[in-house]
Amino acid sequence: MPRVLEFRPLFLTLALSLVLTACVEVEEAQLPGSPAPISTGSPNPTGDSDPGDAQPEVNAKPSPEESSRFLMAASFGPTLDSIEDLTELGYSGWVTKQIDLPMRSIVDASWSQLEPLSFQVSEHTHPLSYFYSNAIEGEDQLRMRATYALSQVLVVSTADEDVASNGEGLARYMDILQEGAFGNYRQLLEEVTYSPTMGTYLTYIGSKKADETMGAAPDENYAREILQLFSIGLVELNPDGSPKLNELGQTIETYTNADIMELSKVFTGLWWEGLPFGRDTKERSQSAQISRMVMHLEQHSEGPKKFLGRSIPEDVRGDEAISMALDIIFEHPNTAPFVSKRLIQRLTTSNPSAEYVRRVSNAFESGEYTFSDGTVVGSGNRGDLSPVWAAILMDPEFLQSEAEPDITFGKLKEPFVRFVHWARVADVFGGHFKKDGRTIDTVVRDHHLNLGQRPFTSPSVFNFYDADYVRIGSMADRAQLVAPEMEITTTSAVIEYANHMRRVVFRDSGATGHFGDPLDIVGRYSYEIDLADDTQALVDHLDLLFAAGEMSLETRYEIGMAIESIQLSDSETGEQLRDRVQLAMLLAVVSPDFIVQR
Amino acid sequence: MIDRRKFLAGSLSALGAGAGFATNLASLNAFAQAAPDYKALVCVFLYGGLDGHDTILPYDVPSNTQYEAIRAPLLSMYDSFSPRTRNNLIKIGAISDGREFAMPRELTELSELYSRGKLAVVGNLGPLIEPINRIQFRDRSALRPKQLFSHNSQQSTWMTSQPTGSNPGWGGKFGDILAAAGENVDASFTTVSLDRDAAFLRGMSTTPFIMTKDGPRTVNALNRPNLGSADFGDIYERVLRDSAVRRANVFENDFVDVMKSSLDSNETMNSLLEAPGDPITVFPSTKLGSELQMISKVLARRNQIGAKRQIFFVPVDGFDTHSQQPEKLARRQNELSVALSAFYSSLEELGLENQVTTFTGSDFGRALGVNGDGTDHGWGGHHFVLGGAVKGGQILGDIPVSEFGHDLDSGRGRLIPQLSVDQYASALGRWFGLSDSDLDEVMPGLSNFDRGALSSLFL
Repeated sequence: MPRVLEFRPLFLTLALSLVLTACVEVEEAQLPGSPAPISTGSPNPTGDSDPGDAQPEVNAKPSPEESSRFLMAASFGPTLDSIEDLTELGYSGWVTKQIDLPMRSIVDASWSQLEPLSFQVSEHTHPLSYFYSNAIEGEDQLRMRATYALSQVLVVSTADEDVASNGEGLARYMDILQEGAFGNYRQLLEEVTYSPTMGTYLTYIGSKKADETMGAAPDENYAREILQLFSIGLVELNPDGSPKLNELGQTIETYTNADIMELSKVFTGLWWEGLPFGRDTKERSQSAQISRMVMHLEQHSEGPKKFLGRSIPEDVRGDEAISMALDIIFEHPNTAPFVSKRLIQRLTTSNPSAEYVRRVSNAFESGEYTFSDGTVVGSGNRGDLSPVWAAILMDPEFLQSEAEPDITFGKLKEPFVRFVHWARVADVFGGHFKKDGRTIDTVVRDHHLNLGQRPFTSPSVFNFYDADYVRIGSMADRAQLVAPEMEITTTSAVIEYANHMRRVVFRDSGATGHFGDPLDIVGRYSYEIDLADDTQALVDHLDLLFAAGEMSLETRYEIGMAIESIQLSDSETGEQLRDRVQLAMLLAVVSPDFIVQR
Repeated sequence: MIDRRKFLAGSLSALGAGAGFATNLASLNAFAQAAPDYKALVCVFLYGGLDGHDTILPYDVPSNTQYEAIRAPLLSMYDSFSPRTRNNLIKIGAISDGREFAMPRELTELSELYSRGKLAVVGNLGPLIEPINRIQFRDRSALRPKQLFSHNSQQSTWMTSQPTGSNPGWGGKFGDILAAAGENVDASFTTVSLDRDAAFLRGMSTTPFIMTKDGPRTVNALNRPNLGSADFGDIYERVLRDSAVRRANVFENDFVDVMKSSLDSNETMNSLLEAPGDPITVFPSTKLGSELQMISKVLARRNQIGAKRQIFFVPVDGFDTHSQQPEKLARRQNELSVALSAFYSSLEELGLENQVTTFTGSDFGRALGVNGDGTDHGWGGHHFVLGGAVKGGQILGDIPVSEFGHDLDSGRGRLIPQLSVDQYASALGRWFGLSDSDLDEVMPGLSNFDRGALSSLFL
């Protein structure tokens, strides 16, 4: 078999490399077992001048490997097409093109599909299907990745039965985030505040002014979470995201419960569009679900509302009071660093340096980002998010080009991102989504269980994981780092994930579920099958797409072994080539090389 | 200290793939000893904040009338489910000042365990730094926990005494002490968490084994060479365990560690659970029911595990009843009652009812004042402790009166706790066998309180 012979030199090279790295191992061996904090070196790029204002010198035309790495953060994973697109356009060209791509409305997609169907689709899995579809197939990858990041800050969840049973409302909420991804954060906060999906999830829909005779007061839920999770957080921050300390060295709380009680008065009087206030009905029209909630002034709290050291005067009421409250929240000095750090953590690294946060926070404040080639993103209005994404992705800390990469940089890829990345590379059958959104539901339905994560399905408004989480005793802990995604990387979840990926990777066309339901996520592997008679070429291809060309020699070797373990015979070559691809794919997507984004 | 987890993991994997479960079991059985002094703690954490006011309700006529006046908007909505009118409540007992209390119908099973003397109620419990009253709360002359009323901060404070960051929980610290004392042959299962990695069981040296309601996991296809390649199983395992000699990136190293320990611990637990020995008690098919059933299955293998002390954690979501409280809380309460009752029956079946103590925790209690059809975040709350070793049929601590502005009202009837979580943990830890110095080490804040306040919780 000539192919095996061709593969031999690779084996030899690998064997030699293993011996060499084994020598290095001796010095490093104490690291994992050592109880002492490990020295990680400074995560900050050092520079003589203020690094915050200098744009990084980057290749006008990134290499395929650089493009792949960039697209791990800027999209739901690179494909050959998107790598080609980026290498041709360069960073600024690619980002501006992405921002200009039209949004693909999930409400519109759901509606155009609904009309010919006889049943009313209010199941949450329906809009989720279109979210998957957009993430997998959409050209507007930056918007989708940004939307997904925002969905983990401005959280609503189908774990709540009221959200789950109002599918149209969820579709609209997805669109709000999609629109907001390249809009302004102040406007986004307003759209979210008026969304009946958020109103339902955080229970302020129908909240009304205090009733002294009954001892009833406004619902405090939204007032608390909009401050703690959507804007300013619990403690006062410096512009670089680090906590401010008082003279005793303690953090300073941003608000008290009195602030919450006052702010809760602002969010009173809101109810479903077109429905009488306070009469709860499960039969909500599609129109009510996709419309803003409507203010009922007679239910809105009287009197001034004082919070965060500001005051909304007595005569400013209803929608005007909400608008003013959102201004106060948006203008708080915490908002830029708080939101910026959360979004960095979702895209590039769990542990951005203070300088990285400050640079992105500056983009939020200035509403503008200028690429090194002079291209400008953003309108100059504070809170514009387009420049925030650009600043996150163009930061020198992310685009590190040193020979020795920072070993503390990066993050665990979220399970959903891993899945969609695989689906994009595998070129899954996608036509089904457009014909009938239901067909992807079989996969969507249980992803929060078997994949370990499903968008818009976190256990609570506190997202899938705590932004400060680190596993005690882990290397990250000893290095005083955080690893939020590790919170859902449990002894159970890692095996569920491997099993789920085995099921989808090996699924063949035409497979059906237990009840004959179509299992629509099927890898075409069109490009990979063509490579499958050339082990080295297939390994190189997977290395580029799943590890940005940085796959360990050992993982490359094992994938090569798996490919070669299937002999090609003349009679059944087609099936054998597909088998080879599937084995190689499974190994790639369970390897640490893929699971950690570096 | 010898890392027993690693030691065992090493010895098991040295057996090699295909050595079979029997061998693994035999090696474990060699260590196994009859453990007559076996004890376990089970923490059932009610996520979202259980409304204690709507769980232990005032029953004597004056108190009930007072309560009904304040809670009228909510109580009227209960009428379409199960009315919480006085005559429909189940009276349980009284506190020292003579005021009587009751449980709602949804807690029928728990009320029966109470009357059998197996269940105690602990009133007005919550995180505290030092004793504090309304005046001190208002003028800030006494210390209070940080970030009160915030879910994640108070979950964290309840479990770890700290509002933020990744700190060990008191369950995990109990586990650390037991592991150091060599109480368990295999420390891998000293702490077992269902569903999630909650801070409660995070220890400095012990890491909880986490499984779902469906039990431990097995990697499919590892030992089934049916994917078109006879060699694939071995290759797959090498990739999962990562054959890379060296990985530089911190997160890659941590991920590989999780994967390796997961493969080992799941394999061991699978082999234990595949052997016969499941309790036959029927559990409700709720998530909580299935999770408690998994714990009962693990308890049934305590000797094979070689454990003398174990701590379990079970989360229950859905108690953040800002709205639709009558519908949502009643359902959750009933699920809790039925599942805990089945769990207690399974302990009786295993003969472990005196050796396993189950207790509840929650983010916080809720405000007495309503917001329409729900209630907002509070502080102190009422909790359950269940077990044959528990001196049940009593309400320990106080249950403040149903009115506003009293000495323990921090505002709108958000109760200022009179018992700290440290005191609660201390009572549970002492029963578990920890010494005073152990308890001081786990809960430095205990020195601000009467450590014997809950000494009558156990027989």
